[in-house]
Order: sequence, then C-alpha cells, then structure tokens
Amino acid sequence: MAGRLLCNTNLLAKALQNLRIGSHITQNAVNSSRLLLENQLPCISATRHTSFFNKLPATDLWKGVTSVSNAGKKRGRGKGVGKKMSKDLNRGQVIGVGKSNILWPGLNAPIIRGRELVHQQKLPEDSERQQKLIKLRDSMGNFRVLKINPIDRGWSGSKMPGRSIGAPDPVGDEVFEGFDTRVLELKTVFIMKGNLGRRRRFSCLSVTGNGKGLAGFALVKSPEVRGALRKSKNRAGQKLMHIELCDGHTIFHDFYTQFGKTKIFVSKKPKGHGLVCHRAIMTICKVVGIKDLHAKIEGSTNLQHIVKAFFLGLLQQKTHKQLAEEKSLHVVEFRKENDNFPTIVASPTQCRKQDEIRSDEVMDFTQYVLGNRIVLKRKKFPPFYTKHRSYEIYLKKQERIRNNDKVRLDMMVNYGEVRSFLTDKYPECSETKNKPAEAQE
Amino acid sequence: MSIPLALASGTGRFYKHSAKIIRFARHGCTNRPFFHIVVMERRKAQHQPVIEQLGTYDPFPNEHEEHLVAFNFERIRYWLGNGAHLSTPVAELLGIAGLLPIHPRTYMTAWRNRRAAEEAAAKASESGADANKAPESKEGGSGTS
Amino acid sequence: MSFGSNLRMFANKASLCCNVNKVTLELFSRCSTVAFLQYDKDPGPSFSNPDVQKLLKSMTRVQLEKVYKKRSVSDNTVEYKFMTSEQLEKQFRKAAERAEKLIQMPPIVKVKEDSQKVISRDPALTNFSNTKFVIADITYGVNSSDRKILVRQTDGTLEYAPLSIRKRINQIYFPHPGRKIRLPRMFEPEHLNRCLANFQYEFILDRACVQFDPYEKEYHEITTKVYNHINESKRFDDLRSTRHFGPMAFYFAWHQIIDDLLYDMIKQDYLKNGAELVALYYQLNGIDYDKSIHEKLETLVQPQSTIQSVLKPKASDDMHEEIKNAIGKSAEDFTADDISFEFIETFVKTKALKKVQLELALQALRETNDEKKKLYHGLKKAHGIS
Repeated sequence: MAGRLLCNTNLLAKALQNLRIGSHITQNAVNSSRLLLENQLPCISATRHTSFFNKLPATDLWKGVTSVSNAGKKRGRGKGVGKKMSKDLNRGQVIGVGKSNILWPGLNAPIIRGRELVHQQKLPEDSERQQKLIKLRDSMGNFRVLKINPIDRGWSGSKMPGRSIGAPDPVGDEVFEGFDTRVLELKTVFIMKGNLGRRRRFSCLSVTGNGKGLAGFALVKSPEVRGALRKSKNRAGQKLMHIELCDGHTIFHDFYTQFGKTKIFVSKKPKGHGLVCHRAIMTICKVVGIKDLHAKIEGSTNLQHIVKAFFLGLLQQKTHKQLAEEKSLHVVEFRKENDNFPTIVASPTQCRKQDEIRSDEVMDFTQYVLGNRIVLKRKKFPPFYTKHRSYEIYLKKQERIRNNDKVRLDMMVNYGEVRSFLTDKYPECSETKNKPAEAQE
Repeated sequence: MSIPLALASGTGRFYKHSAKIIRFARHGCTNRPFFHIVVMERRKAQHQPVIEQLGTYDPFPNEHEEHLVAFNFERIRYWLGNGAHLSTPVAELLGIAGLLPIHPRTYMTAWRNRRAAEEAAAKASESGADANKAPESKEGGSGTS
Repeated sequence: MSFGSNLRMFANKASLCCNVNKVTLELFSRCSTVAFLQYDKDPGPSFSNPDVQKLLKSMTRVQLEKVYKKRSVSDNTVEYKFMTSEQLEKQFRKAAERAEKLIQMPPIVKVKEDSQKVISRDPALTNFSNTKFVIADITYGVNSSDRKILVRQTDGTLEYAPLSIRKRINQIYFPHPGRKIRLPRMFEPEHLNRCLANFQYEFILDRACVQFDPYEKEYHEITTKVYNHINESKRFDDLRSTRHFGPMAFYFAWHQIIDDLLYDMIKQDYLKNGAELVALYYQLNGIDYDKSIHEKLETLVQPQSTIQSVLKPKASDDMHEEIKNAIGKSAEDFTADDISFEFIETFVKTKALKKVQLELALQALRETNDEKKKLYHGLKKAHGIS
C-alpha cells in the first residue's frame, strides 16, 4: 500500500514538472509547491471500494435496518421493531422505467429490432404505473397509527398512565355508579426469590373517584398487566375517602402537605382558572371533582409520594365552619367579581371580641391555613434583555407603532376594512395595493 | 432620526442663563409630520431632551377638515414671562390661537392666498369666457335659428 | 311608533270607561308628532329637589346583593379574612356607603343648545388657511367643562367651539375611560333595537352614561327609548336597585304615564312605593295633595337600612318579630298599607289612564291583605299577645 502511494507521488511530481515547463512558473514557486505537496501526502489516500453496502445482499441490509440482532434484543434495544418504520421504495421499480415513459435502446429495449435500429423516443405516459407503485408500497404496511382515541389517551402516547380503565367492578349488589378509574403508574418490578430467581411482576397505582368528592387510590402488584390493572381498580374502590369540595369546584383553602421528601404547596383558585399542577395531581383532581387549583411540588417528585402527600393534604383540609370555630371568628369572603362585598361564609357559635385576640396571633387567613408558613415567592427580576442597548432601540421603534393595533381595529369597525378618510385621496397607500387586478380597475 | 423616549414633562437639563426657545420638534414618521411644541435651549437640536412639552400641532387636517392645535397656555405664559424666545411657526400659531397678536406672516399668507385665488378665479373666468365664446361663435357661424 | 300604539290602547281603554281624559289626548297628540318625549322645561331643578330625590331613592329599593352583583372582572380572585363581629359590621357599613355612591342617579337635565360666541373677527385673515384651526387649552388641572376650546375659521373669525367639537377634542386630549370618539355601533338604531329586544336595559343605560353627557340630545333620545321599551315590556324589576330606576320613574311621572309602573308596584305589593310614585306625579305636575302622607308613612314604615338587611338577626326572642317573619308584615305595615291604598285609590279615580286594570289590581291586593291581617290577628291571639 505504502509503495503504491509512493509510486503515486512520483507520478504526480512528474506531472508537475511537465506543468512547470508548460507554464512559466518561477523556481521559487515550484519549491514552495513541492513543499506543499510533500506535506499533503495523506490527502491522496486510496478510496476504499468495499463496504458492507456492496458486500452484503439487499435482504441483509434491510434486515439490519428493520430488525434487531438477538444480542441487541437482550439488551432491550429495538422495542419498536415490529412497527416496520421503513419501506423499500425500490421494490417494483426497474432500471430504465420511470415517470416519463421513454424508450431507451439498449436499456429497456433492444438496439436492433428486426432489421431496424431502434431510436430513443418518448412514449405516451403510463398513468397506471404510479398507482401500481403506490399500491405496492401501501401493501408493505403503513406506519402503525395510534389506535387510541385522543380523548382516551393517557399522559404520553399509548402508555397506560393517565388512561381511564373504567369503574371498579360491582361488589355484590353495590355498583360503583359514576366512578372512573385512572392509572397513575404502571411499571415492572422485580424481586429475587430463593428458588425462582428474578421474579417479574407489574405494579399498578390507580385512583378512582366519582367526581363529586369520593375518591380512593391503591397500589397492587400482579404477574400480569391486566390483572394488576383490575386488582388496583377494585382495591381503589374499596378504599374510598370523602373529600369535601368548596363550592363544588375547588379546595377550601391553600394548604401545605408533605410525605417524605415530597412537599406540595396547593393554592385555591377561582372558577375558570383550571388545574395548574403536576399531571398526577391533575388526574387525581379530575377524578375527585376539583376543577380549579394550583400546586407546586418541591423536593422529590416520586409519584407514589406525590399521590400520598396530595391525598393527605386534601383530607387534612378544614371547612370554613371548622376554621371559624377554631378561631372563634367569622370567616368572611371578599370576591373581586362582587366588588369586594363581604360575605359571611361561616360564623362561630361564640365570636371573640377585638381585645380577646392576642397580639401575636396569626390573623392572616392564608398564613393560618398553611400552618404559619409563608410561601417563598421569588422576586421577579426584569428580563436580561431590558439592559441591552438593542432593547432601547426596539422600544423607540415600538413607540411609533404603539397604537397600530387599536387604529386597525377602529378602522375595521368603522369601514369594515383597513382604510381611513384619506384612502380615497391616496389610494396607493391602501392595503389592497398588492392586488394588481383590482388596482388596475 | 432618533427620537428620545422622554416624558411630556421633559427630561432636558435646565440651565438658568441659557437662551430658551418655544419651538416645534418634529415627531411622527416619514411623510407624516407631527409636531410637539416644546421649550428647550435655543442652541440645541430638536431631538435633544426638551425642558418641557407645551403642546402639539398636527399639520395634517383630520377627518373633519380641521387642524388640531393644543397649547398649555399657563406654561407658555410662564415661559414667555421668563424671556423664552418664540420660533416663527409657533408665534404664528399663538397668534391664530388669540394669545398673541396675529403674526405678520399670517397676514402675508392670507393675502397671498387671496391673491392666488383671485388670479385663479380670473383665469378660470377668462378661460371659461373663452370656452363660452368658442361655442357661441360656432353657433353664430352655423347660424341656427 | 310602538309607543304610540301603546298610547292608543290607553286612549281606547279610557274611552271605554266613558271618561276621555284631556291629558290622554294631549299626550297622544304630542307623542305622534315627536319621536321621543322631550322635557318641555328644564327638569334639572325638579330632579335635584331633595324631596324628589328622596322619593326616587325610596322607590329604587336598594338591595346590596343586586348592587354588588357578579360582574366579569379581569382578576376574579377570592380573599378570605378572619373578623370579629365589630370588624364585620364596619365592613358592611363601608359597603353600604359605597353602594350609596354606586347607585347615585345620573341626573336629568335639559338638552344643551349650541350658541355661537365670537371672540374676534379679522377680515384681513380671510383665506389664511384652507382648513379651520381648532385650538385646545391643555392647561393642567382644568375641568373638561371649563376647558377653553376655540376655533379659528378660515375667514379669520375666532370663536368658541360648538359642543360637538368640544366633546371630540376633550376626548382626544383627555380621554374619558370607556368613552369612544366615534359613536359606538351599539347606539345605532339597528343594534340598539336588538339590545332592547334582548332586554339588556341596564347594559344600554350604563353604556349611555359613559358615552354621553346628561345634557346631550342623544342621551335623552336613547334613555327615553329604553324607558318606553321597559314600559311596554313591563320588566321594571330589571332596573330596580340600580341607579337607573329613579330617572325612569321621574321620566314616567313627568310625562304622566305612570300607570304601568304603578300597576307593577301594586302587583308586587310595594304599596308604599306606589304612594310615593303618585306623590311624585303630583309634585312634578303641580297638583296639590296632602303632603302629610309622607310623614305618616315614614313613622309607620322604618326605612329598612341596607345594613340591617344583611345583618339579619338570628332567632330573636320577640314573638312579634317571629309572627312578622312568618307573615311578612307587621301591624304598622298594615296601617301603612291602608293609608297608601287610600292615596292610590284617589289617584286612580281621578287621574289614572288605565283605570279598570289598576282598580282590579288594588281590589285583589286588598283581599289578600285582609286575609293576611286576619291570619296575623289569629296568630297573635293564639300566642296570647294583645
């Protein structure tokens, strides 16, 4: 190999020398070019003409693309292999036959037919060819489409978590009416057994509820996926808890709850706010019947811990009546939509006087229900770009067009299009100037 | 043209003994002028920070065929009292507004406009007369009735 | 037009009673010629008269729940507070005070006419410009109504701007929140009629209050249109406990078309309001009546303060109270009702346009009242209270 390379360089040098004679290049330049040449030796490496592309047959190549080796399978590779993601677009195609139907003598036709020389010529287009090809490709199997209805879909793809598995099975005559169960977690777990070795089971955490405050959750394991789902659904139905809803749409008050290292700050929100929280909490809320809430998880986001912490928090809520009794004070509601008109939501049996309230008592409602905690709300700093010079320029440019949207809207209201009283005078400035046909008319 | 992002109350520095002037500062955009009436130092360019904005003037008539002018007369009187100068356009506007006597230039434009209108009318009547004459003569030539 | 037909109905009914009222005919003729009922003289002084204001306010029947009814706001957060009874009462008092302001009635004043006031004429300025100049004084701290807005005409005349220009210029330089420079489309007859067909009376009137000043002709046109529509649809309850009820009652009383409203009041058992409405009618039309009725009614029926209605007493020991709560009326109420009955009846006999209807309503109410009275006395006897 090295010899061949050397030989090549010699040849090249010779060619160069020839060149030098032909073109009047000074000695100096040649010296430098020679130096360059010597340094560039590896650039002129031989091309490798063999690779697995031309050594292996097409079937093997296709197999390599569309399947996984046995060793790979063991390592868990290629889970989506059966899907057949790629298609052999070469199938059904012949060299020399294409979109435009052309007769190529020597390629798809004989050069001499009988005693006549065949000429290249364009034949009428074959309309069926393309359709045949498409039909063939369709028969190869399509990408597997997700068969689940978008409404029934879970949190992610065709995975179980987040999906509904129906109401728990009736126990005797007791039917779970209006109940819905949702899977929160479905995973494989292993344990070591003395005689069986690694034993695989499926663990399923699901939550069931009727959307009116009755809910329960259960974690079960089973060697089968279906069994795990069924068992957890039914067991969740056995462990129902009653959670009171405030005005039928939210929680009674902000609360803090913790299970292990999972800490959740939950806050009550007005109607129409929606569920702004972790997807598991959202699913639980939907099942319980809570419609408006905000939750922030701090610490561990272990799913089982989240579920347990959230349920604990829900159960530890105090109703307004309880709070009023605890504090011996009225609980008064101020709604912005009612222009902050005070409404008594709960009154104690015996209300305290002002002088009976200790000076160090927590009087702030939110702080009291959070267990004397104050949620750390970080200060919002202005975005970094506000300090840039470009931002100032941007602001100056915006200054000119600051009311454009309002003016546009005003024009649309008054004229039904973007035009003003000056448009008749200066039609070239109207927005429709891009339509030449109209402009000409 | 770089226009400073400033409050109407003005952000320019005030030097006690420098000459001040009440003048226009052109805002708006290309082909669409709009003037702020501002008080600023005489020697400064129009887009430097102003001491105070005293009003606005829209040189383009609006939908109802009127020029909109706004003056903060209280502050204008104050600045005039403090010896601020007046640019001619602003002096003209103040004359039109009735705060100052009418500026001679306004009379001049009025007079010129009238003259131009008269000339145009005369021309029109002349050409009109010509135009009238021509068909008349034609008619006369044809000798109808 | 429909209003005219309604009045024609009145006239028919009145003629059926063989008592064609002069007033009716007058009204009818007036109505057919004018698109809306105008105030022949300045209603401002009578409207702001304290006696009239008192009557209008009482007729409005303020309920805090309706004053503070749910409205759509950008931020609908809910806040909770721990409060002692004293703090709570203070809050309610504050809310009631705020309600007083919220239901302050938009005034009814006469339509302001334009008057040309020339400051100077300068013929030498003729043609100084093709268009006139409108000069606004934007001096800080000047009221919109006091602001000087001048016009320099092209012929050199300097004069005060007419009202239409004043309004526009004021809105340009000192925008009134919610007001538009151009007339909103909803006040165009086509859209306004659609709003009326949907009975959005309060919405229209609120928007009109924002868009117009009370001395504008458009304001009068729109409000009277709404009032007439209400009079036809008989949905007086929509405006009760809003700031527009007083002006509406004033309008009806001034133009002597209170019958439908009175009928509604009798039907709803707001007899005191009915008496007040009749008194207002007398007062605005310069008819003498016994003014002692107000004192009598006031001593008997304590004007229920807005705070009391909220802070309902829980289970009082007083038997009187209990019976009152059960029936809804106390002994004083019954006597007050009798006085009101008499007062309204005299009105119905002499001045009413829809006599038969009103008399029947009065009769029906009297019967139910008598029954209640009987029940009241029976209960009293049963409880052993004299």
